[in-house]
Amino acid sequence: MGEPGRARSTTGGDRAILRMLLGTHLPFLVVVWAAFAVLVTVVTVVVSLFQEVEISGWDVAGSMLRWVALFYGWWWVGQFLPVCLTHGRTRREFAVEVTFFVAVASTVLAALMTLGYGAEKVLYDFRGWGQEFQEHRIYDSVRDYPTIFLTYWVVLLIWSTMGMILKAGSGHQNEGVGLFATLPVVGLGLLSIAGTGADNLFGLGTLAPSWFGEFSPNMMILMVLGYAAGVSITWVLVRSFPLPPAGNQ
Amino acid sequence: MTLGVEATDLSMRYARTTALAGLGFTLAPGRIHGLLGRNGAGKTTLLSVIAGFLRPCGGQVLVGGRPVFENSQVTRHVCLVGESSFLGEPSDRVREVLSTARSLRRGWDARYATELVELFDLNTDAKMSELSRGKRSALISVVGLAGGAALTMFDEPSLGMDAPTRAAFGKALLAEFHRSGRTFVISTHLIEEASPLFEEVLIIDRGRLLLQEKTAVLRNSGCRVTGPVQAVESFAAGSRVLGTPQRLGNTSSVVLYGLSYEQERDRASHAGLELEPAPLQELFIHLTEPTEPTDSNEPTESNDVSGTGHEQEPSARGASSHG
Repeated sequence: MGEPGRARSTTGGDRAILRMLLGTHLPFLVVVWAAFAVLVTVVTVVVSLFQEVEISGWDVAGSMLRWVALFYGWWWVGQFLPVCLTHGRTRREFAVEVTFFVAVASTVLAALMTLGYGAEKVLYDFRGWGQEFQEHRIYDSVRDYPTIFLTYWVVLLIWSTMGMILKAGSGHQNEGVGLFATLPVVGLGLLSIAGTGADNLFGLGTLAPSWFGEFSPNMMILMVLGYAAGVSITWVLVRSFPLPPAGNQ
Repeated sequence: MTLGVEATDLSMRYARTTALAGLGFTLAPGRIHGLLGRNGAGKTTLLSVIAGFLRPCGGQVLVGGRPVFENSQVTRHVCLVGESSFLGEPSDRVREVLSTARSLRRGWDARYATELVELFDLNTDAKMSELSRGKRSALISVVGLAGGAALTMFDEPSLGMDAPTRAAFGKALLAEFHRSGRTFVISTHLIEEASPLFEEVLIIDRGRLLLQEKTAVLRNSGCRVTGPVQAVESFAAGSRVLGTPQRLGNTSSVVLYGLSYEQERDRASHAGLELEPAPLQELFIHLTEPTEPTDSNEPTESNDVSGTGHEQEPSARGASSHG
């Protein structure tokens, strides 16, 4: 019966998922960012033909990034997890390596977004435009690069995790789990909005600046802890995520 | 390298649906096993549990003697591909699907994959959404065969394939089997066409094991007799006829259950009748017919369709009322 000895001879640990993502997805994300930067620049220039530019187009457009992160999180569980399993990978490998990749990708994208603010300032100074930010941001100067970076970094981490929880919860065979999973998603979303001023939904975006001033290390720590809790919830849900989905058996 | 499977009292439920109900069997390594069952019998769920895609609600499955769920040392050597398998997004091109497989599947044979792509005439620039059902099945077959997994399972591999492609798949599968000695499990509804590939057949029904038997033995549990109408009727008297007798003029052909081809060959020959092993499909239909209420005074038909006295799993015995 079987050949367990031979099976043991080729153990895991080759980090194939991570290596593939770093080799293909990360360059893809950088290309998408570049295309996004060109699009924002073109739109800003077109807008300048009709009215005076007074606010940062990059700051406005950057608000959309968290929705991309949310979708990407959904995609990880809905599309990429099944591919990993099909090719002999486990859920644990998926969870560990994708979590690591999301951290790396969030860092790279947050750095690129921060870089975009600097590049925009060069353009705006050259054209004599005003680079005002949304009033609910926790940064109010383009020179506050660390805060800009941290804001995008934590928002990307949290919203991609929210997407994973949503998909893993909604695909669960127990519908109650799906409903229950919306609670941490809502909690994490509100936490990130209130903590970073990523949006001004229900006036939440003004909470952080009014409570903590422009930047609060404690709030940042709280958000990172929230992210860690989100990752734990994701793992619990992903471990029991049914494949094929119920009804396809 | 090759791996066997040992399942014990497997059960799986989806909300109010029982997909697997106390399934137990052993699949010997280095063979091609056929998995048959009607729609909704639990075939895909069973394969998913064996592949470690699903954690069973009860019981256990061992692959190569070890648990498979979340065991990367085992899942490395297991591959399940098929209708509901996940190779990528519809917008992914064939070459991207193969590239992903090469990155993630240890033991991927890129050269063999290229040969199979040519064999099935797949356009590597085509998006998956642009492929016909048959071409998608061909791509799934490439992933399963070139993956090199010691235990490879195909769930409806030939869905939508035309006859030449199905033949090419069968030939490629046999060639790979003889070359590598890998264990294959194939779930299919094309019973007659695929059965020559199978050394052994499992039939499941409503989540239970109905039968596990060598294909040759199963075929020998019934026979088709053809000849003059009266001679056929005389020969079949007292036997159970499966399906509807076929008649053309004075010639009749019926499938008889419970008569061994090997044992009845001489009697048929003396009666001037042609005798051949029963079509597996007829036996399958018979075995999976919906249960009908039985008269307690009537003798219950044995589930040992092989006629060899082969001992069935307890779950299979429970299905004796089928038929």
